[in-house]
Order: sequence, then structure tokens, then C-alpha cells
Amino acid sequence: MTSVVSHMPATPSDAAAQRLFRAFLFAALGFLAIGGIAAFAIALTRTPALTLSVSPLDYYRFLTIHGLAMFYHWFLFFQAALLFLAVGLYIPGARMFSVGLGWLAFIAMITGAVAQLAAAGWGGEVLYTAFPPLAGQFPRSPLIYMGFDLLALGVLLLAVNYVVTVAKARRSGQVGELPTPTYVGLMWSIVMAAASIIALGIYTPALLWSVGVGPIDPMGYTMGYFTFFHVNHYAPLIAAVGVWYVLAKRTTGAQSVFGERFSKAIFTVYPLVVPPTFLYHLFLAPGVPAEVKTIGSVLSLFIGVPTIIVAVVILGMLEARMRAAGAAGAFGWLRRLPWGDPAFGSLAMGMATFGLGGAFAYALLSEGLAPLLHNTFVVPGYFHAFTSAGVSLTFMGVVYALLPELTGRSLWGLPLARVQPYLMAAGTAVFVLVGVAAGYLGVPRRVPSIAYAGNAPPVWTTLMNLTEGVGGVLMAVAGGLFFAVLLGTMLIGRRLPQSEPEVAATSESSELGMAHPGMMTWAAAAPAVLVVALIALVSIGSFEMMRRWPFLLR
Amino acid sequence: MEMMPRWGTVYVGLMVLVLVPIWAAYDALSPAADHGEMAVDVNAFANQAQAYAQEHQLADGSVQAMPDASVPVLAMQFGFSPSVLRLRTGETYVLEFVSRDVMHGFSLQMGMGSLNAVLMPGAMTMLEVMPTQPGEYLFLCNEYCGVGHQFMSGKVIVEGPPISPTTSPAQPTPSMNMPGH
Repeated sequence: MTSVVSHMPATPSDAAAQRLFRAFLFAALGFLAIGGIAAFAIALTRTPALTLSVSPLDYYRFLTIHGLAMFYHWFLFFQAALLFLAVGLYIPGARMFSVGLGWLAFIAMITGAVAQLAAAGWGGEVLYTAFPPLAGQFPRSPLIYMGFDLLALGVLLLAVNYVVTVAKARRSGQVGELPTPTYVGLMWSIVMAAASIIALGIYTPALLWSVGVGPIDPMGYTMGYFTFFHVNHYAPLIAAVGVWYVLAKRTTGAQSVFGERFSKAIFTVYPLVVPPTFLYHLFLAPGVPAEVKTIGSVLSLFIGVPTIIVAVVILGMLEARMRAAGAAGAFGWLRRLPWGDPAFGSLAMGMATFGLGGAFAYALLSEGLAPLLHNTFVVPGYFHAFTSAGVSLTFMGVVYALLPELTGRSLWGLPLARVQPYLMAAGTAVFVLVGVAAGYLGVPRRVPSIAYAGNAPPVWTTLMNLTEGVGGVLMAVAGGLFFAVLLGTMLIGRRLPQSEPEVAATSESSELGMAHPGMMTWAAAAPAVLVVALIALVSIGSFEMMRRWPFLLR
Repeated sequence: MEMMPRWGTVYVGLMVLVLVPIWAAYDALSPAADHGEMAVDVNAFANQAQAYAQEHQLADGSVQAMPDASVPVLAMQFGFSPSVLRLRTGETYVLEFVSRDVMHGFSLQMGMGSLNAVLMPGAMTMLEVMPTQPGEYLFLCNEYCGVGHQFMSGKVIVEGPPISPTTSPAQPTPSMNMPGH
């Protein structure tokens, strides 16, 4: 089934918004490419079998660039682009509050991002954590800190611009109750405005210290950093989950089964559960009282609840839509889904890999397991399920859906685009599963070589060969395919006639009755139940492992 | 209908709801006020670690750790001092780590998993452990600390008969620093 593109335009109709949207989108894709090339370099470095002689400094260069370009630049710029869609596609005729603020934000952010990447490659190899006092040994770390300040400032301006734009549209009666995607943008803006304020509060003193003005307290920086990092890292999750909702509708014609208000209520939970759980980054921090860590651990249990609920709702929407189109049997609706549509494949694999990440996430927010897991390869092993697959695949799905209208050309390389999400998911699954196993067996993160003068367990080499040499390389190849499709479409794709966006509407869509909750069965909830079961298994297994240690902790 | 003030109120209200708990928690947790109590005199500790190593050093260069007492270990770019410790099964040791320069990590490799701790500059991290199985256990730094990070490692050699763990499950949270707590 080829893509079902809704009859709404794919990009904002307001010309000023359209320009800003494109600026943020193409910048985002540029950073994705840079981060991806760095990822490939890291994969090659950390595959023991390849015995590439890379200087340790080069490895930390790649890693700093990779972390900044992917987690901060690609994510932030893409989410900024989504903000323009969240108003532009759902409130036709809305005018941006301030075009000037939008461009100021863009300039601040791109200056900050480029400064950071330049520093990362040349005297600022401090990883995206940039912890003092180590950062003081790198001459270009001021650019790293300054870059964070500029990114934070830009995001704050975007958040304010967005909220006021939406408020004005409501006030002038252009929109009644907010559509869910617009509302998700509001929740995002709240979270990111908070994160930006915290960021400015840490990175400004750090910047001053790094140029010789003022002191720094390493513990204070660490705690502030994790507070900011925590709030910040949920924004892409909120954005991705919001996008699932939109992509599910666009690729299948699915409708909400529980209504917009229910969906919006779930998204309202995010700004409430996210902030208090920052403590799970600090379980091993000296000086944080034990009782506080325990409270943090308990509060963290709620963090997965909104995502699991939304996942069930979206699966229910898909199931209802497929059943309304004639699918039968407990899982027949799964077969009917448009797996060959690159945008749907990205959605499906984005959700699936998110579930995989979720299975391990709960181990990482249990205070009792922190000594087992902290700074081992379990951390990057598990989070790539969320980042490179979960969120990035979802975002790439948006690009696939929008590309024809954005470029005025039809998608080039459809066979590549069809396979790419599945290849990315497969590579990620290897990286995650083997990487987590490696981490459980003690392999550390953030280190170019795990030889340790021959004292390291031999199994480490095998595991990292698989994790990086197979998983990491597959992920990089999948990323390459994505860019091949992107560039092919932009440069040599068949031009589409001006008047019609590429629409291959199925005949069924007009004859569909409204989907309703009755069409949803337990089958939609099954994946969520599976994830919860995996969470329990991983947690229990982890505690059992600690009990069998040859060193007892008092 | 005045949407603007209502929206503004809701937005600001939610921001307050988000920021205030973070700020309050951060304030309560912040070691800044008590930094004086937490701080460890790094030079004094370094001397202590050196004296301990000299007093308990064996012919092969390893250091015999004494049970039921502090075992000082200095972490620095790029090594641990002492770097080879000898322990005995069934005895309890209080390992005290202080970093002399930047953030380091301590990751003790036990085959089935690793025991990990964070070492902050100028503050003490304490791990109270009782080995139960003899063997040689690699430990390494797992917090990026500069270009020599991958070489920062050591060894714990455990001697003595294997013992079965006591019935109570391991208390997993290492107690951290704060002399006097």
C-alpha cells in the first residue's frame, strides 16, 4: 500500500513560517549527517577485530562530535521544525507572533552548534558532558559552554514564540479547542523552556570559569548538569510520541479512538512526571542523601506510564482502522498495515525500538542497580534504542512523509526507503541487545580500547565486535540509505505536477465509518504488556546478578 | 473573551510547577553549603595513601590491605595508587577513594557484572566490601578523564578459601563520603 497522504498541506502555508521551517529542517538534517559520520568512525574504532589505530584523542573527538551533533543539534533543530508544523498544519491562517524572534533563535542556535562542533574537533574533546575540572584541560571548552548557552537561548525564544503564537490564534478565534499536535507542542515548550533556563544557569558560570573568571564547583556542575540533561532528554520523547500520533493518522487514515481530550490529557502528564525524576541520574553522586535517592527511584517508576498509554492508544487506533477496512482475526490487522510505506515503517520501527529501550530503562532508574550499571556499556547500549531508533526513526518518518511536497519531487529510491527503517531497527536491536549484555559483563563506555593490557575478559572482544562491528555498522549503513533517498529525491527525483501533492488515496478511506473503542481488542495492548513483562524480567535478573557477586557490599 | 491572560496564567503556572520542585530539590541536595564538611584535603590524603602503601607493600609491589580499617586509594590521571591490592575472603575492607584531579570512576570487574562508583575531585567515596571468592579482579576507571583514560586500571587479588555469602542479600547502595556521617 503506498502512502495515504492527507489532504492537508505538508508544510506551513504562511511564507515566513515556511522559510523558518525549512531552515531548521535542513540544518537538522545536516547535523544528523555529521553525527552519523562520527558514529561510523566510532563504530570502526570500537570494533576490536578491525584493529584500527586511532589515537585516543581522535576517538574522544569523534565521540564529542557524535554526542553533540546527534543528541543536541539534530534533535533540537528538528524539534524546532516540528513546532512550525504543529501550528502551521493545524491552525490554517495562523500568523507567527514574531518572525524576528524565530530568526534570532535560528541564528543563536546555529552559531552555538557550529561553535561546539568546531571546538569538539579541535581542542574541546570533552564529550557532551563537558565536566569540570577536566574541561579546564581543554583550551576550546569555552566554545562548548558558550554553544550550550546559545542553544538554550534559542530554544527559549522558540518556546516563547510558539506559546504566544498559539495563544493569539486562540484569542482571535482562529482555532477552538487545540488539535492534539498543537497541544503537544505546548507541553514540549513548557519542558524545553524549563530545561533552557536550567541550562543557562549551569553553562553561564561554567563558561565564565573556563575563561578564567570565577570558580567552579565540580559537584554543583554535575548535579546541575544532570538536572538540565534530564528535563531536556524527555523533550525528544514527547515530540516523537506526538509524531507517532500524527504519522499513524497520515499513513493509515486512522482516527482517534478515545477522542482528542483523552490524548491531550496524557500529554499533560509529561511535564508533571518528568522533572521530579532527575534524581535517577545521580544515584552514585557523593553527597546526595540516601533517602533522597530512594524517593527519586520511586518517583521514577511513573516515567514510563504516559508513553505506554499513548502506545496502546496508537496501536488501538491502527487496529480499529484496519478492522474497519476489513481485517479479521486477532492479529490480522497487523498484516494489513502499510509496512511498505517508508513513513509507516519508520513509525512502526520507531515504536518497536522504543519498547525495546523501555525494557531496559527501568533497570537504569532503580537506585539499587546503579552500582551494577553506572558508566558501563549498558547505558549507551540501551539508550540507542530510544535515540537512534525510537526518536530518530520517527523523525525520519516525518521526512519521508513530507519529502514529496517539500521538494516538489516524488520519492527517489523507494526500495531503499522501504528497507531503511527495518535495517535501522535491526542494527539497533543488535547494538542494544549485545551492547547491554556487554555492559552487564562490565564493558565500560566512553573508552576507545578495552584491552586493559590483556587483563580484560576475552568475551568482551567478541561482544564489542558484534555490538559495534555488526550493530553499529548496520545502523550507519541505514543512515546512509536515508541520506541516499533524501539526496536522490532532492537532486534527481521526478518532478511532480504543481497542483497535486503525491496522493495515493485508497478507495476505502471514504467509505470508512468512524473508528470507535469497540473495535480495539486486547491485541493492541499486547505489545505494552510484553514490554512491562520484559521490564520485570530485566529488573529481577539484574538484582539476582548482584546477589551473586564475589564481593558483598556493606 | 480574554484568552491571553488565562493562557499566560496557565503557562506560567505550569512552568512554576515544573521549576519549583527542581529548584527546591536541588537546593536541598546541593552540597555547596556543606562543602566544607565534605571536602577532603587531597594532599593529606595523598600522603596517607602513600604511607599506607609503603607500610603494607609486599615484595611483588602489591599492597596488602588491612581488614576492618580504611584502605586509602588515590585516583589520578591516569592511575590508581595503590594499583594492586591484596584482600582476603571473609574480611571486610573499607576502601576510601579520593580523586586528586578530575572526576574518575571505579569499576571493579567481577565476571558477572561490575561494581561501579563515582570519584569526585576533592571528595571521598567509600566502598565497604567483603570478598567471598578468591581470584584476580581487574578494576578500571570508567569516567572519561582525558587521553590516558583507557590505561587507568588496577587489580584486586583476593586470597583465601571461597566462602558462601551470608543469608541477607547484598545491600546495594555504597555509602558515600561525608566523614562524620
